[in-house]
Amino acid sequence: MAERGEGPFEAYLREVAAGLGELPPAARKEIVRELRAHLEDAVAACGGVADTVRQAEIVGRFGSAQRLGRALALARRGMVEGEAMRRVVGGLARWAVAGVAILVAALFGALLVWGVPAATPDNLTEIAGAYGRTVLPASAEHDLLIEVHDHATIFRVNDDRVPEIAVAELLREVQPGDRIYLTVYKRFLPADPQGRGIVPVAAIRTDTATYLALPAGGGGAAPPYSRAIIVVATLLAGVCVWPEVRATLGGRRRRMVTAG
Amino acid sequence: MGQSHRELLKGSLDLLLLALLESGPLYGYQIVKELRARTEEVLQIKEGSLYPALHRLEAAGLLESYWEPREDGASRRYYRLSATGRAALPTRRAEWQRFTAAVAGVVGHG
Repeated sequence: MAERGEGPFEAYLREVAAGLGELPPAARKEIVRELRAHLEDAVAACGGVADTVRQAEIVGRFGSAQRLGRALALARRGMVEGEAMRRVVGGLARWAVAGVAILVAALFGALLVWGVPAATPDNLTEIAGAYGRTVLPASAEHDLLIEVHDHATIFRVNDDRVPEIAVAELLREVQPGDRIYLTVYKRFLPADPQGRGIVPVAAIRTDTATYLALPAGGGGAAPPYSRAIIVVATLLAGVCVWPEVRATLGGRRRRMVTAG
Repeated sequence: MGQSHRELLKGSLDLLLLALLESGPLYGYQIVKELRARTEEVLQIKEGSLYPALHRLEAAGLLESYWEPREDGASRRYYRLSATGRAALPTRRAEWQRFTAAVAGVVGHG
């Protein structure tokens, strides 16, 4: 029944909305919007003007508002349940992917920080061999400085030394069981105008295993994909989790507005 | 439209909607007009039956809907066949043709 000052269209749409029952507000709003568009099209078809009688005729073609509301609620319920299920499954999948990505990032982070191989007679021999084979690129502006360190002692090899001497020093300094890192720095000769004497070459710091995988003379190569993997995995986790976080924040905001 | 037509329409509404939307997306008001025009006013769908059917078909995955703005700024909800709906249509059409042929086989020889 029409309320005071309410035309047949508004009264009809209100009754349909009342019949939509437990459907989520967004779904109810969409249905009413769709029916309103239909009513407006019907008015446009009769010259754009419809008095109360004409409006009543138009809504009369829809049949009972309560019945239409109930029928639409029934038809939509499956879709709403399907959407809810899809949201739950999608959310779980996103959290699972984010979890795996965080795990991968943490694993590679741990490898980067703690995964320093221990020196053994075998790998020390290999390192020494790699040193011997390595021809470091040098120029008039800079040369390269290699560090082998176990976080406590640093052993440096300059490329102006004879490789055999450097190898002998290395084998003397690094003992089996030491956790070792290799770092290659670009050293400016003379010190650059900003006073930086030693500038790390990008992405050279690496573990022995990776270093040994470099081609001989590859002092400037950048092998540690670990950092790239950490960045990609972290971004992936962020992308996966962001919709959930946004939905949670949105829900909280809506509740606050409602409570307010 | 007579009572018997209404009963026949009720049983074939889903197929009629799928077939109407085969040629392209339509919105509710257009569907009503299109059905009237194509059946020379023999079949007239009531809006009260149309929208629940459209929503049911969408929930079943046979249709998809999207909103498109009108010239006056308001929007209309368009329906179109989903991939599932497009795939299901030939089967439903064949079933319908078998059914009507069977009915005609009985009714036609009265």
